[in-house]
Amino acid sequence: MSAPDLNRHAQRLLMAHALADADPAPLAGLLARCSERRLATGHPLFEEGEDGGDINFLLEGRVAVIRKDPTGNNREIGFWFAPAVVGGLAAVEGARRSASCMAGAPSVVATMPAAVVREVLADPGPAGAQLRFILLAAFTEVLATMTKHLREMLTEPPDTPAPDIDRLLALLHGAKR
Amino acid sequence: MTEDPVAAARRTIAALGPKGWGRRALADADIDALLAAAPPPIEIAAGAVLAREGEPADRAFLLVAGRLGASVALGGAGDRTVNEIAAGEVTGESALFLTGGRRVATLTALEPSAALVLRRELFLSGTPNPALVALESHILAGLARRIERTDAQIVEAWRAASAGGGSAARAGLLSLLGRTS
Repeated sequence: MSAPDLNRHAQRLLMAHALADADPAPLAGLLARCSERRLATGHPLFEEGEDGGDINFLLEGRVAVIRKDPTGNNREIGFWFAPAVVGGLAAVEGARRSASCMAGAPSVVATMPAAVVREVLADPGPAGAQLRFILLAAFTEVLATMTKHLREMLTEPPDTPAPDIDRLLALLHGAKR
Repeated sequence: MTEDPVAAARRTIAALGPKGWGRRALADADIDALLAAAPPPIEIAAGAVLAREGEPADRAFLLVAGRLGASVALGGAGDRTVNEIAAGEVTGESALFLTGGRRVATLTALEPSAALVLRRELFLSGTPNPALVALESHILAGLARRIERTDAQIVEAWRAASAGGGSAARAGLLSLLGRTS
């Protein structure tokens, strides 16, 4: 990917995470350390239950989020649209993937390997600061959106149908429906 | 509260170092630099309101001593206490990392307390500081735990709903409210 493209993607990612005025150079430098993947529609990004140390920057396209329901069947609960950070939670926690993701359209993803993620998250410099801020903004938005929806549920009339679990899971994954 | 709020803030931040990504003790100079970049820690008397639901949210709080209650107003149904914040926890993060938000709960001191006020500018200073990395690591880990707990409870509700227990699913989900805000 060319330097102008890296800068453009970095700028879009920063804007999407409340950092519109930030210098894109540190994040562009991080994107340059990622491996670029071009995914055809239907191509898997990762599977639910896998180890999740990598972070994926969705630069173009969209990715479907899929969860196994209580009967073990896969359900598409929502989409991530570029620009977005996909799978940051598992990377921070060193946990397994809580959902599967696959390209919902031709997509471009920059994958930061787990070892680089750990190094950058501990880095006090500007690149580490930007990655941490982006993750903090993404996680905060997930919880703020979930809180808003739960508040709405609190004031629903008692005869309201059972909650839309797919919607709640989509909110929790930061995905749109 | 008998401990000086600045000493409580220093102790709280020092404790974050070995838990953060750097996993090392923080230098006194780094802790001092972080404290110098933030407003002086505030004391909150028992029963005093630190922030009100609906107000513009422009700061978060690292509670360094005491305990806070978070409550939400339910119109005619009064207020509902949805969470308690213990010393060492951060509350109100959306003020730091989102823009234009409002408080989703009222924070009241349940006992004499002290808090370090965190503003967005602290996280955008551009000055490398391992103490700030430790604080960010602490906040990220707290958010991640809340998301994971919420996910587990939603999955429980999913099971209840698929077994025909719509009201049980709803009750389980509503109990999450304090843990997401």
